[in-house]
Amino acid sequence: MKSRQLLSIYHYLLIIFLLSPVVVVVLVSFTPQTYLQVPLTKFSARWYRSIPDHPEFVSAFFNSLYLAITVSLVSAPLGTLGSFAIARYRFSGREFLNTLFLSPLMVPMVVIGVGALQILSIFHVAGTFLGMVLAHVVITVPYMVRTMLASFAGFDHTLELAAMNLGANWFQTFRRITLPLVSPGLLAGAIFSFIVSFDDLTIALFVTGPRMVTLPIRIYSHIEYYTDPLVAAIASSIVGMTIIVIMAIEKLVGLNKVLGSR
Amino acid sequence: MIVFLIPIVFLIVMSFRGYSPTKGITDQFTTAHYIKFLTDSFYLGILYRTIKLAVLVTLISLILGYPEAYYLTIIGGKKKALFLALILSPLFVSAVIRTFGWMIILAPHGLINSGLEGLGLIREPVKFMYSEKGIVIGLVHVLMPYMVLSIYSSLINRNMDLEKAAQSLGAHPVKTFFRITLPLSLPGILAGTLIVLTLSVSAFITPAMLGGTRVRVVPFVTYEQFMVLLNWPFGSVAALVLLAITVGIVMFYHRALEHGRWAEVFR
Repeated sequence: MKSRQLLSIYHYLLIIFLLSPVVVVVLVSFTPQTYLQVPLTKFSARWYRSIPDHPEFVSAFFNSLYLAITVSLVSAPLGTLGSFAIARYRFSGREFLNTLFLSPLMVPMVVIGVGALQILSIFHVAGTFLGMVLAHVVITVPYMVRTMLASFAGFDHTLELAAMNLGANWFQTFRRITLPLVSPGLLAGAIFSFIVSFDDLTIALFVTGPRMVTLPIRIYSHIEYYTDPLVAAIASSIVGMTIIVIMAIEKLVGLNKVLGSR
Repeated sequence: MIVFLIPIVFLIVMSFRGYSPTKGITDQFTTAHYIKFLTDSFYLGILYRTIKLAVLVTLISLILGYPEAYYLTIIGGKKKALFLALILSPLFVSAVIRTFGWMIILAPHGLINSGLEGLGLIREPVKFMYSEKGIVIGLVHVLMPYMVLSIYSSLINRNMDLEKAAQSLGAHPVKTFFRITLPLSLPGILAGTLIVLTLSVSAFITPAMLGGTRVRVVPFVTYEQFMVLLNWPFGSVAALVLLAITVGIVMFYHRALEHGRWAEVFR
């Protein structure tokens, strides 16, 4: 059993490695100093209290929040429709569509970013809220489709037939049977789209404009010049929110279903 | 489909247009940007570095991720769900925040360097920031979860009796691993390396923040040309080269799986 103990030691070292950057950010955010101090000697929440004094971060946070909410509201119905078509019907081009919905995972984000920039510039929506929503929906719909496909995979089709047999019309069946059964997947996919949109920096860097600065962009451009505990405090707050959201997903459907194995 | 093809068509058209620093993007047709990218030793060096780093990251993720994936299959119950969540945790942290953490750890007077100096192992700080080392560490960190997950899902449903049978017939544990366990996990290794390879070639934020202009990679050149230098035609060439690499990797794997000697593994 010696090798098993070695494996278990290795396992904990690896976990430390994986958690270290986030733990470090959270730790330095509690410093009372004006510079990043490791290791920490005293704890203070002063940097958290000073967040509201920096309106550029607060407004960036709300930009990101509205953007992410809109993106998940738009991609939820689109993704559901796409996955419904793939899971339910045999039609020509079905394989094609299936591959297509996985393809943005293969096309580099930078390429999607420059493509989005060129197209949005033509329609003069680059750097606007609408432009950001369009660019983000392109990357979130595939996640949505994948989550929903996992939901449809474990779906007993005969339940719908039974409902219709008992006299329910198409809409009633959809509302009373189909929707409740896939709603965990739907919610998880929407939350996932929210996170992807909220955290995205790569695509945002290409299609952003002075009127539409998201939180990742604000943090990124701040870090380029100063690395101070204020950014660490803002980052830690986001980490805290993310943990809550992830726990919600885990409760609803289980993470491994959402991630799948590509 | 149109959503994905149109940008690429735009990129191709843009990549053949002229550019001059004074007049900007011009309407002439030219292949000069391709020739510049593919013959200039500066850009070839960046291309080489991008591929080299990706291969390195993939190999390290495989070597570090495999034991972990194996470990996850031999433990059970509640602990496993927690460990899986911890392993996947880097994927849920915003790239900016995660890389910011690495900047603090890897800085010249950051955690690692002051730790090593405290132990008397080094006299001068090791240069992690703005070096290839830092980029590799940052990328291994965020891409390893994909590797662990892929190998884990190919190992979790294996028939453990095969290993027991091999050992009861007198095979050494090492031999059992190489003759039984490793072959069974091949599909997972292939899927994992494919994901990590394509994602590390196309990674942008980690190399941008840990390497910047001092250690350029192709995605960074794309960004720089488009957004800083405003040379869209040349940026388009860089983007298309990047796309060609990732599509090339995927097609290579596809080929190997369909026709090559690995085809049998997936039957």
